[in-house]
Amino acid sequence: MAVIDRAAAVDIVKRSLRELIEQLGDAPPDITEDTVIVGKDAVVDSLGVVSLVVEVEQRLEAEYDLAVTLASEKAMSQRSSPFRSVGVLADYICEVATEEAAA
Amino acid sequence: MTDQQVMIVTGSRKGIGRHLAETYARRGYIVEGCSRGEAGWEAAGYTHHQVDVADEKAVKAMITNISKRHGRIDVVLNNAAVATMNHLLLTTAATANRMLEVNVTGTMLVCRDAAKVMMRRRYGRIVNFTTIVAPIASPARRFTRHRRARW
Repeated sequence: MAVIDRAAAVDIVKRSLRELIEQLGDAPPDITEDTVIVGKDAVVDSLGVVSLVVEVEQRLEAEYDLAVTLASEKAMSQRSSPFRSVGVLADYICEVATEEAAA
Repeated sequence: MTDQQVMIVTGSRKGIGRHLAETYARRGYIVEGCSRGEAGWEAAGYTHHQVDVADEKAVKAMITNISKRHGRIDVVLNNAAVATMNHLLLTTAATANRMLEVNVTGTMLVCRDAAKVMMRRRYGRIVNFTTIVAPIASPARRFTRHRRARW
């Protein structure tokens, strides 16, 4: 049983990303699971990725009482970053939350 | 959220850490301290956490606890450290690794998790303490070079 279901994780990433882009003063694009976060065509810069991850962590804590650390060696890798798109980040959230709950 | 400034002092059981914690609690800060063992002392405005700063999960849990209770973190004094005054030639790898875990990784972990809370209010001050050896490192190095030259 997953600690957080994937749809909820996708929803949190989408809301966090939309809010971040709005805060930066830009009009948010249509955000889907394929929206790119890291690398070419990314909708935020590298500092934006950091802000997004922190925002997602805070929402997981506030809304689901999940205290997870979303850190990764591959954070900025265009090919294998667990933050590279909305869908991939949602998968990573589910993975880390499940791992931390089991630990 | 509290109106008082919230400060974290690591390694607050004794020495400089304890005195900083006591001083800032007296000056009206909410001070949250930590060490591996119990504090062994108490003060108004001071709360102790039994946390090893090298323990990633424990650091995260402490910062989450502080953030939930007070809603903010204003200042971090990364004071916790271990040191060995042993001679290099008599120091084990385990001792060296423990120093890196506490002094380097521990400092980084507290910075990382506290900074995430600080980002919410776009305010925060972090002070990382260095070693007592720093001011005397230069003559020591001269001594080492001198010795090496003699060898």
